[in-house]
Order: sequence, then C-alpha cells, then structure tokens
Amino acid sequence: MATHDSQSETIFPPPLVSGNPTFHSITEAVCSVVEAPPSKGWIASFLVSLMGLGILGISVGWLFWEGTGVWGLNQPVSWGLAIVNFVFWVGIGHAGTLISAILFLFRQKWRTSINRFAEAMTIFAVICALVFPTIHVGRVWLLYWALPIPNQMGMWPNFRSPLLWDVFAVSTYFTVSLLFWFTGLIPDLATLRDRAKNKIAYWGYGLAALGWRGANRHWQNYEKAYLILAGLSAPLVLSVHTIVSFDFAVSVIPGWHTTIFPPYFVAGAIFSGFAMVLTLAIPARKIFKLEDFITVRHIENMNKIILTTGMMVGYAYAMEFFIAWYSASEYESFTFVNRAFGPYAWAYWIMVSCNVITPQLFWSKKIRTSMTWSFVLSIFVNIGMWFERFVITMSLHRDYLPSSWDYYTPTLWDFGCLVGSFGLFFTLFLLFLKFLPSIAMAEVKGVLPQADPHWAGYGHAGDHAHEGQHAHAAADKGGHHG
Amino acid sequence: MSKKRYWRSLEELENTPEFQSALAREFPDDDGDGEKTQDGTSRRHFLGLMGASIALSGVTGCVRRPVQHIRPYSKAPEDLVPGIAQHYATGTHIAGRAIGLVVETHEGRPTKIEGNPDHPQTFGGTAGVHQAMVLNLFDPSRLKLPMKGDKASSWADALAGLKAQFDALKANGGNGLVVLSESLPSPTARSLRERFQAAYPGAKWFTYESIHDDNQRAGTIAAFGSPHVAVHRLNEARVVVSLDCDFLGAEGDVVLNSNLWARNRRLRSVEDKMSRLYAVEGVFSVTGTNADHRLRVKSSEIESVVLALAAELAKDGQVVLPEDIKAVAKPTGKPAVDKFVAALAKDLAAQRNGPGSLLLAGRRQSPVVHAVVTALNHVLGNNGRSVHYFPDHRRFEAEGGDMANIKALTDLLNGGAVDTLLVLGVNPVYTAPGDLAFGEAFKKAKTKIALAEYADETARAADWALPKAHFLETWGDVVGTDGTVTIQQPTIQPIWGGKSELELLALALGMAQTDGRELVREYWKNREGAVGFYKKWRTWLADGFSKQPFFGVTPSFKAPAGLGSLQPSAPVAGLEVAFVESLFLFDGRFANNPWLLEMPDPIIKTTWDNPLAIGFATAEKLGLNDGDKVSLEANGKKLDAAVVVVAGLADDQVVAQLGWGRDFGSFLPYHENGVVGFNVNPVRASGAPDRAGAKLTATGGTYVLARTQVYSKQDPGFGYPARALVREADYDDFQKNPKFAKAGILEHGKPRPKAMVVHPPEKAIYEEQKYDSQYQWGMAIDLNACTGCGTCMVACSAENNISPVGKDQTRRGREMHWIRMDRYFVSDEGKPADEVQVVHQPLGCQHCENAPCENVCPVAATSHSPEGLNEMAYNRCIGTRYCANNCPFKVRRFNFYNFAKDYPETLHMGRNPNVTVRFRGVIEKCTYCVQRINAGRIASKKANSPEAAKAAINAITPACAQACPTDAIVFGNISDKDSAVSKARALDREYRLLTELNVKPRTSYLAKVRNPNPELGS
Repeated sequence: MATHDSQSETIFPPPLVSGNPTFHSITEAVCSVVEAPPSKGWIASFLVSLMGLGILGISVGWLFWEGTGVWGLNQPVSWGLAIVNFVFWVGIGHAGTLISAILFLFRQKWRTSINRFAEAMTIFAVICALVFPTIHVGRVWLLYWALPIPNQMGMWPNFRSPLLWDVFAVSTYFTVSLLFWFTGLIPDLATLRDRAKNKIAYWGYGLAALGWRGANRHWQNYEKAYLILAGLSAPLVLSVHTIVSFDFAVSVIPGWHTTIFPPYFVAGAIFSGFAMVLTLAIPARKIFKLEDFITVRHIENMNKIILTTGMMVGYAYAMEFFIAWYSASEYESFTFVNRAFGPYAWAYWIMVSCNVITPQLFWSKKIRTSMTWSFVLSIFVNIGMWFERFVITMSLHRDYLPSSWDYYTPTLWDFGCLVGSFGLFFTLFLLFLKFLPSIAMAEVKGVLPQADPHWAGYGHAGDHAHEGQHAHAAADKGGHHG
Repeated sequence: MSKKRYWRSLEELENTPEFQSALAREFPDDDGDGEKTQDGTSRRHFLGLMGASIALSGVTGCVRRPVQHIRPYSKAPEDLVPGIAQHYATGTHIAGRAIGLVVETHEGRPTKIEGNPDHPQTFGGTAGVHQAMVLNLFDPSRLKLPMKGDKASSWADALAGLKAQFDALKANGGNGLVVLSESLPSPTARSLRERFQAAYPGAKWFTYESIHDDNQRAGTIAAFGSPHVAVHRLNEARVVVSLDCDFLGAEGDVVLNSNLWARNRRLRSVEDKMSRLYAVEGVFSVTGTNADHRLRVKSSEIESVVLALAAELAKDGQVVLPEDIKAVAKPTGKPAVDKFVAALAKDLAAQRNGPGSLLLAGRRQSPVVHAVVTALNHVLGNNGRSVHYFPDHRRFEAEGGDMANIKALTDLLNGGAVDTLLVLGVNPVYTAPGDLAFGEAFKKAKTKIALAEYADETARAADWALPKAHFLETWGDVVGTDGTVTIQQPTIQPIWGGKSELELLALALGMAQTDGRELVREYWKNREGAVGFYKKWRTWLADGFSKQPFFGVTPSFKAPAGLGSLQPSAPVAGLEVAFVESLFLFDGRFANNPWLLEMPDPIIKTTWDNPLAIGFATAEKLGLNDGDKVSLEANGKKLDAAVVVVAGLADDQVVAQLGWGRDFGSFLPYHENGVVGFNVNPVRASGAPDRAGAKLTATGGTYVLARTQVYSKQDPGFGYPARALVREADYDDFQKNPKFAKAGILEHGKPRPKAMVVHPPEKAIYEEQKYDSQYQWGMAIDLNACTGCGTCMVACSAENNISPVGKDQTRRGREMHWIRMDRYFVSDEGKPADEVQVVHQPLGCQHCENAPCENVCPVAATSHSPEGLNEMAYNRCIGTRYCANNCPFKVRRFNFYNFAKDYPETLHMGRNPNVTVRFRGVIEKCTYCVQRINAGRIASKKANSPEAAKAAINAITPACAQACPTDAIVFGNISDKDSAVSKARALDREYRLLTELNVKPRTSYLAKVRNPNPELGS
C-alpha cells in the first residue's frame, strides 16, 4: 500500500480544501463572518473606505459643479486619468468572470473557493469602471443620449462609434456578471436565511433567496441556469475588453491604431484581474481565517496565470515596437520611441518593470507559494497595469502635428477620482464581506470528498480506490445537509 | 303562492350591500369613497391635484427668470430687415495710420469690423488690432460718467465746470493752457485746432505718441527740409530691404504694405517672378520671419550696416550719394556683415534700371538711417516708384517730435507754468518714458482734464476724467499717409454718452455747434463748397472715403539733401535692450482687450504676457533659462520681469515689448493680480526711447508663461525626419520642379533622407460620400503670401463668438482659437540655434472628406454635410472629446468651463447673432463660417440671373479670408472650375496635409517658396 500511496499523491492532486472540514464546519466558517458582529478591523477598514468614497463624492461633485476643466486635460490630451481608470477597472473586472465562467466550463474545481470573491470583485470593479465614462463627459446630464432610447428627436446614437459599442459591451457584461453572481449566491443565501436569528436578516436573505428550499428540482434548475450563464459569460470575457480596446484601435492616432490591441487588452485584463484577486484574497484569507479554503494551491495557480499573462503582455509590448518599425510608418514608430524615451518615459518604464520584469520572479516556486511575495508582486502588477493604460492614453500627447504637442499633468481632482474609485470599490467589497457569504459554501461542499455519495466515510462505498484518503473525516460530522 | 319579483338587474335581484348603497347615492358612478365626476375624478382628487399644481407652480417660480421684452420698431428704420445685417463704411486710425473699414451691424449693434475692399490703403484687409476694436466698444470697464477726482459726476456738471474753466482761460488769452493730444490725422481736428490756437493764443499744444515717429521725422527733415512720411508701394519692388522695419507686422501702414508685398509672392506659375526680401534686424519681427535673407545685428548696429551699404553702392560710382553721406559711409569691418552687404548692394544695383527695389527704414532706427535710406531710395530710382515721401500732415509742421513734446510738457509742468492741462485721448502717465517722472509732474498742473476711454492711469490722476467715445460711436475724418480721406461714420449712439475729441474741442472753444456730425460736415461743406455737397457727402459715406486726395498732400520727388546736421551714432556696447511696440496691444491702448491679450506672439507664442526675449547665445552667456525671473537694469532704473529664450534674435539683444503691465480697473475675469505682463516704460528714457544699454540679472525663481505652442520644430526628434507640414523650396528648385510639394517627401526642396514607404491607396472603412451636390466648399491657403501676422485668428474670434479663456487656461492648453497659427523654426545643420528661419501655417479645421472625428462620436453630434462641410451640432454634443482625440490636426476645441457665460454682459451685445454661443462641455471648431455660406446661398437663390447667383456664391468669404491683409486665404466652391479656390487648387504648389491618412482634407495649402540670393546661399 505504500507504493500505492506515493502513486496516489502524484495522480491525485493535493486536496482542494485543507483542514478536513465537514459540511457543517464549512457553513460555520463562512456564515460566522456574516453573522458575528463586525470586527474592529472591519470597522476601521470600512471607515477608511468610506473616506475614500467621500473623496470620490467631493471630486465628482466639484467636477459637476465647475466643469471638466478641474481636471488637467488639455488640447491634444483630451482623455486623461478618467479613461485610464475606466480601462483599469474594466480590466480588473475580468478575472471574476474568467474564474467563474471559464474555469467552471473547464471543470477546474479549484475555482470554487475563490470564485465568489472574484465575481464580487468583478461586479464592483465594473461599477467603478462605469463611474468614469459617466463623469468624464462634458455634459453629464445628457449622457442618456448615448443610449438607444427612442425619443422625440428621432435621433439614434451613432452606431459607428466605439464609445457606443462600449456602452453595449460593458452594460451587457455587467448585467450578465451580476446575474451569474446572484444565481450562484442563491443556495448560500438560503443557508443564511435558515440560520437567521433576527427578522431583518430573515426577510432580507429570504427575499434574496427566492424561495430556495434545496429541493432536487431547484438544484437541477440551478445547475442548468448556472451553466447557461457561464456559457454566456465566457465569450463576454473576451468581448468586453476587445471592445474597450476598440476605443483606441479604431482611431487614427499613432500608438492607438493597432490590430494587436484586442488580444493584448484581454491578456492584460486577465493579468490585472488575477493580480487584484490576489491583492484582495491574501489579506482576506488571513483576516477571516479562510486559509483552509483559499489554499496555497489557489494562490500558486493564480500566480502561474499571472506569470503567463504577464509574458503575453510583455510579448505585446515587444510586438508593438516591432510592428511600429516594420510598418515603416514614421508616425507609428516615432510614437513608440517617444513612449520609451520621450516625456512620458518614466511611465513607460514603470509599466515595463511592473508588468514584465517583476512577475518573472514567479518562476521560483518558493516565491509563488509565499504569501508575502505574492501579495507584493500583485501590487506591482496592479500598478504596472494602471500605468499601461496611462501610457496608451498618453499617446495623444504627441501625434501628427508637432505644433499641438503638449504635456498632460493630472490635477488633484484627477487623483481624487482615482483614489475615490478605490474608496468606492473597497466600500462595496467590505459590505460584501460582511453581509454576503464570501465563499461559495454550496460549491465548496460540492468538491469535498463527502459530496461523493459513495464516499467511504458513509460506509457504503468501500470499493473506492482511494477510500482511505479522507477516511478520518467522520460521517457524523458531515452530512448531505450541512 | 310564490311572490313575483320584478327586477331591473342582477344586482337588484341579488340585493347586495353595494347595490343598496348605490341606490342611496345621487351619482351612480361613484365607487363609494366620495363623489366622482363623470370622467372618473373625484372632487377631492380634483382639488388635491389643483392644489398640488399651484404649489408646484410656486416651486418652479423659485427659478427667477429675467423679465425680457421683445419690442418691435415702432418706426422701422428704412432698409432695416430684422435678422439681416447692415454694413456701414467707416474708418479710423491708430497713431495716425488710417484704415478704411466696413462695419457689420445687427439691429443697430456693431458686431464685426472688416476692411473696406475699395479703400486704397486697405484693400479689404485689416490688422488684428482693427478686428478687435469692436470689443473695446462694449468693454464694461470703459469710463461711463465724467469723474471729478474719484467721484462720479454728470455731463451737465462737467460741461458747466469746463465752460467756467475755459471762459476764464479765454479771458487771459489762454495763458497756462496746455493741450496734449494723440496724433490726429483729421482735417476737421486740424481746423478746430487752428481755431483753438486763435481763440487761446497763449495756449500750447503738444502731440504725443509713445510709439513715436521721431526718427523718420528727423531723417526726412534732413533730406527734404520738412517732415515727411514714407508711403511704400511694395508691389513695385523686386528687392525689398527691411532695415529693422516691421512693415508686415506693427509698423506703418501694415495692411497696405502686406497686401502689396504679397502681390509679388503669389507665384501662380513658374514664369511668375518673385520678390526677394532682406531683413536686417536684432529683434525677430513678423517681417523678419518672412525674409529670404536675414542678417541678425543688434538694433544699434544697424546704422553701421546701412552706412556700409551706402559705401558699397557708392563704391564704383554706381550711384551718386550726397557728399555728407559718402563721408561717413564705410564698411563695418565684420566679414559676415560685409559679405551680406556686398551681395545686397549688387542685388539692389541690378534692380536700379530694372524691376525696382525698396529700402525701408525702421521706426526705431536713427535719423541717420532714415536720411541715408531716403537718399538710397532716391538714387536707386525708387522715389516716386516704390516709395512716395508724403508730407507728414498728422501734426503741425512747427511742432517737435513726440519725445521732444512730452519732454517739453514735463518741463513746463515742473516749472509750474501749466494752469490747465487738457489731455485728449493719450495716456502719458502710463506711456511716458520713466526718466521724465511724468506722473509726478502731471500733478503740478492746477486743473487736469483728461478725455479717456478708461479710468486709466492718466484719467485717475486728473481732476476731471471725461468719457471718450469710441470711433464707432462718433463722427470724424481721417487722412491716410497718402492723402486719402476716410470718413469715420458711427454705427451706434455713444453707449455711455462719451464725447469725441472733436466734440470736446468744440465745447472748449465754446462753439454753438458741438455735434460731431455737424462739425465734420460743416468742415467739408466749407472746403468743398455748398453746391452739390450733399450728394458728394452721401457718396463719401457710402464709399467710406473720398476719392480726391487731400489738399497739400503730394509726394516729394526732389533729391534728398543728405544728413544735414545729423551725426552717426556709436552702437551700444554689450547687452542692449530694444523697446518695441506690442503687435497686439500697441502702446497699451488695447491692454483691456481679451481677444488681443490672448493672441499668441507670432514667434514666441506666449499669450497674456510680455517676457523679455533673448537669444540662445545671450541666454547662455548670461546663464539664464527660459522663464527665469530677472531684473532688467537700463537707463539707471530697474525692472522686475522674466525672460523667454527664443531663436532668431541678435546676440546681446534684449527685446522688451511696450504696452503691457497696466494697472487699471479692468473687467478681465482672468487676471490673477490685476496686472498683465510687465510695464517697461519706467526703464525707457525720453532721450533714447528705442534702445539702451542693459544689464540682466537673474533674481531667482521661474515665471509661468502661457504658450500656445510648446514644441517648435517640424522635426519630431529622435532622428526622425521633419514632417512635411509646411513644404517649402527655393525659387530655383521650384523652377526646376514646380510640383515639388505634391510629393510630400521633400524638405526645403531636397529629397528627404528617409522617405515614407508608399503603399497602395488607403480605403475608407465606411462608404465614402459622393459629394455630388451643387456646391462643394473648399479653402486654399497660400503659405507664400501668409505673413503669420495672426489677423485671421482675431477675425475668427470676432465672427464666431469665440471665448477668450485667460492666461491660466491657455497655460493649460485650452485656448479656443478655431484657427491657429503654427510656427516652426527651420535651421540648417551646423548653424547656431539662433540662426533660424520661420515658417507660419494657419490651421483651422481641414474639413476632411473622410473625417476621423465623425465616426467616433457616440451621439452623432458631428457629421458631414452633402456640401463637404464637417459640421458640429453643439446642442447634440455631450462632450466625450473623442472627436478631439481622433482629429489628426488637433483643431477641435473643448469648453472646459462655461467660458461664454463668464463673459461680462455688455460684451454680449457685440456677439454675432448668427453664431451659436457655445456652453460648457461641448466641442467647437472651425465651420468655414457656415453662417456666411448659408447667407451666400440664400442670396444666390434669390438672385434673378445665373450670373448674379454665381456672383453671390463667389462672394462668400469666411472671416479669416476676409480679414487677411495679403489675401492668402481663398474660399469657395470647388466644384466650380472657375472659382478662385478651384484655380488655387489647380496650382502646382498645391498640397494637402496628412494625405497618407486618407482623410482627404478640403483645405489645401500652397507651398512656400523662398527666393534666396544665390551669392549668399540659402
């Protein structure tokens, strides 16, 4: 049996959930975060986030009151931090759906303990992203003209405009992601409802749970709906950032007008999205004691994806330069030389260092399994990806006619909106952590050995090859209805 | 037995409680909770709704809307159709230089000034300042009431006071009365002045302009015995030599000069000859930027260059110069300068019996230069041909020069000899050179009366400040330097009840007739005779000028005498500061005009400022950097200012612009501290007002400059070849390859080192428009005629209600000009950075046929008209600014704030009612003046013959083209092969920008051709 054991270790990967939980212990671990009174740490973080949200409110209020001029924009650079932030947040909003939908479709079971998290992050990131196209227009009060609403003017939006495509792409993505997230929440909400000790929670979770009773029929419908939504979401992951990249690629501006943008943006989005998941998950697993669910294996897997997509992004950077030279377009190649050595060279080199160079450290297993390293490097990637969008947007500062060239310096109000968007994000995220199950209990339970009806622990399926593996988990502690 | 029941309805049969209650009610519709009216509304509900409506209408009442009245004309003026502009011919002058104008008025409000196309000194163009003068009319900071000290008074009190004052003066023969006036080229004023001096024999009259003409005056006195003024006919000269004379920018009859100069630069075909312009200057002027050859010499050394030129020309007895000139004429001894002079002399001599030449002496150059230039022009056969020396009629012959006058007045004041000082339209407290301490002296006059447009420095120090009427408010007459009489016809009642100089003089004389119109008419009636005068007068008013030359103004053709008592002067040693007029503020009289303040300097491209300009070599020598705060020491005085480092200046030359740094009650909302720029008058000296030895020391710190153009070269850097934006060639290369501009890969006529790879024609992603409607609009800009003066930019602001944005916003790159003037420096490799040439390129919306801005707008706010206009629907714009990003020419402008709303109210009166005023958050840009196109199309439709219809279309002229003094811009229907624009587009030099992007611009450029002297190389 000894040889058999060593074989089983190589054939069977380490467990998806460590600490040998039972169904009940999982419920306890996840629900206690929601049910217990808020911790001091949570309250402190929430107040800081609220302050950030306040900064957003003040910045946007002043912007609306005074006009777009409070930002640092100028004549060649008509898009600045607002668009940078928009693309940055949309990018972050990618990992959630990717982890949920695509990994779900590929039956990657390790996703279960991080998908809720990542989906929530997606929703909130997209909300943050949507703030920016809204506030960056000169006449906010007329923004609805960009929506295809029948009106007395008989005017439709301009369907040729990539900005309009954005409206469709991002709103579709947001809607589908929200539904997907909500659908996944239903069984867990029902659990919270059933455990509720006060009326408000009971009614609140009860309404949201849509009458879920865990019936077989419910599960069947649920699984189908989840699969369909996963199927719908998967192409959206690719389409959203493709379309966002069209904002740039469809223009005539050198540095924007490139066919590489769609795949390059998608890779970058996954890259930044996973980095953000790490940034959030590493502290959260520590604070909420979820190490058993978000294991080192999860972190390592994500680091591998970061390493891969980081190299894809690096490849794109190199290819942009190559094509700029190969195209023999003076404007194009000048733009890239100017990117690396012109007035915004500092931003370019921050981008390259953070996105291409530092992620290479993940080749080392020691680093990619180290929480501290992973956290620090994820922050680097976040910074680098923000700068990537900044560098791309700043292609505007030197385009065709040198007479128009200028330099864009963001103002305090530009930064106010950036900082404020983090405030909004973390406010929403902390509310989510406090009021909703941050780990998909039902799904995690589904990947436990106990979920197997023939599991040895139940004592009626002794013919399993690896029966002994989890045999010590007592059946009386677990159960089908934890 | 069963009881029979009769029933009407099932309800009755069932006898439900509802039925019971229904029976009891009067109105059967009711559902039981109260009475209902027939349409289903209960009385309570109705009352509730009414109450809410009234309450809510009260809420809407919280927004107070101003009461507005629309009043019809109870007596409609003849020929006035509301909504249709009227045009009146008028004219004015700046420091005695006349301009004939046509003013567009809408329902009695003048909104736009244009050049009078028939006027012989204007030819339909203007300079930037003329365009902007309409804004001064509506300036809210104008003096509105007579001020006694600092208290507002009334005209009745002021006139009573004036009368008492002048009655007393009349009694003592006018002793102690002094008048200080601006240069008054008005025959009526001249006659009033004669009467004035008869009525007040003891009175003294001084004429003073800070931008003085003393040197020309002294030089021509030496040459002809009396003051003369040179009137140039640049079209008659093949070789033009500017000796520090900015005849295309700020000096003299700029509009006339520009127009005539450009006539020899048109190059319609390879056979066309082209003039050659040499410029010798220390400053970098607009003229200098257009020169084919430019010699950088310090301002004070130009005299030696002129004398060297005289020596060179007289060398082999080619020309015979007066002996006293010959005696002082000698080479400079500097090889580079003498080489230039030798080549120049040869070129000039070759023109002597040929196509003609012309030398122009700058206003700031010494009397010796003027005398020598007068003599040279005469001996080169130019006198009477390319130059006419007219007697200077702007002041009385016996009078001294400007600087002598202001000095004499100061001495009188300091001697306590002035009892009453009447200041007519000048501002000596601000403009007088610092050595005179005029402000202190001014206080010594017992009674000071100032006629001023603003509560300016002088008016504030006066006992009585009387509001001066704007030229568009009063009658007058102006004589041009060549004797053309222009009638100044008002277009509006004085808005604040001001008086003109003529009217105030009449009042001071105690004349019975003090109405401006009558004064002018009386004068001319007396001169021309009463018979037939009315008809003549009407003709003059309609034409705007009299076709008969003014009396006594005939040019002098006699040989200049020489130098007389004039002595050549030694150049200033070391660093030297030159005091130059501001191209847009002039002597400071336009210092409250935001259109002009926001005009970028043609070379430095700074707005809202007058930093001291120095060259690169000078900056290096002094250890100064661009924007450094400095202290300028000259004439024993110190001034805190800032420097700007710019190419093209002579070494050791500092250029200080006059006219800035005024502190007076300005409306300008953009002032940071109430003062715009630096006042350099205090360091100027009346004895040598044009230049002085100077010392510059850094005082630490950097001054913020607002430039509209940051990057100055077509060469983008990093070893990339220059971009083919302004394409130019030398005249010889043009002869060999007239279509050089088409290639788009030439640089100064030579093949580029690395040509862009030519690929198959690009295709538009969307189906292209057919553009098959009758009119297709296009524009052509001749870069060879464009001088870079910037008039088009001011004209565009005036026509299109463009908001000025102020220094801070300009610094942030948010200026709103729809047409901008791109300026690129061109230098040869290996030459010092100061040795540059300049190219100018006016650039507005190119109206691309495949406009990249259009398809990216999410709300379709910008789209293409079937006539090829790239149109902008402001009302539809939500302000994503995507179009601005995607414009490869970066001509789209965004309203970052509500610039238009923050504009003072009186200025709203001057707005063009045919152009939407843009609000916050929308994009705007050049429309090719679509309002004028539409007006032309309507006129064409109404025309009763095909010829008249075509003429109406051909008459369509956008504001920039209309104002351009050199007619460099032509506009029209490109589908008509005979239109001016089609002909321009058919020229060899035609090219369009960024054709490699397949945007298909509708604006064409005609490439620049320089005409260097082969002996000097290019």
